[in-house]
Amino acid sequence: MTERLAATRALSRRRVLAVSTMMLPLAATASCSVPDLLRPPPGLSASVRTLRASITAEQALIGTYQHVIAAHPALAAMLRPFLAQHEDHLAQLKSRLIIPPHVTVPPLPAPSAAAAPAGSARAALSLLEGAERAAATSQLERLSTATPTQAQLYASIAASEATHAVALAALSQEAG
Amino acid sequence: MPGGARRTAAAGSADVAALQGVLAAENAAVYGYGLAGAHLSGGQLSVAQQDWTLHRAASATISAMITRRGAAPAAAPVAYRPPFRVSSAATAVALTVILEDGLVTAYLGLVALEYRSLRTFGAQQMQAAAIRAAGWRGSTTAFPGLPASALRSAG
Repeated sequence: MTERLAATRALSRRRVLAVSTMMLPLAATASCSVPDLLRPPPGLSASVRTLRASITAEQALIGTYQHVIAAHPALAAMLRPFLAQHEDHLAQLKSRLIIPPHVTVPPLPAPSAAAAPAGSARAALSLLEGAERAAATSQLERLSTATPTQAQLYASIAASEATHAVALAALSQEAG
Repeated sequence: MPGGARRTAAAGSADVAALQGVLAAENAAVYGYGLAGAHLSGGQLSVAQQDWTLHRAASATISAMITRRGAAPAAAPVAYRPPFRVSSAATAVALTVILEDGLVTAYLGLVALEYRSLRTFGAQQMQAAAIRAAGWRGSTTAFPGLPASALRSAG
């Protein structure tokens, strides 16, 4: 009885050692930085997410201009140059958006309904001025997660938006 | 770590190089606004004088930023050759546009650096210079500071 117990214990020790030896390479593989073939591919980088956010914001700004122009046709001639520059911004931003083939992302959200343009031309111009200032501020917040070339594009677009805001403020004064 | 130290030194060197570029553009603006102001009057002269003061202050600020990084600010040349003969209010205004556009481009160099606060500072100064340029030009542009070669054809 005592001999059987000793043999069983010895067998258990051998099994534990054997299993430990087999597990060692697996444990080592799991703990080091060797790429794991079973791990899903990485998702969107921070810079791509930032670019998508910038595209969405630009689409919303264009939507606001279109709403204001539709509501105030008399402002169309003075606002179209700004709108055209925003369309150029959007085209440049979109041209830089490359989604890796292995990544599935939801489509860019449709532009949300812009705020209803205020009644007077002056109020509508003030609405656009505020939207331009907010857009320029948001572009600066994107700089930290952007690649150097993206950061330069955001900064240039922000500078353009800042000039729009000043021009719109002057037009708003004239309209009042 | 030697690698980390090399990267830090390289980043610091890039910071100083970009700041020296900005300083050169600010010093050119100080000289250029003085030249332009001689041909301006009334409201335009007042604006030019304000801008000249701004650029002198900016030059001092940038010089201090370079000094803090352990480098010597490059001295401003005694005189500059303008890109065309400045002999009227129209040519004076055209010169201020060129000076401000040059500043937008110079500050754009800071935006590509790694240091986050320099990026933001550069972008803010780009906005200020772009607003002055648009004021002198009388119109806005879609991509202040970016050369055409940086823009992709978006079909």
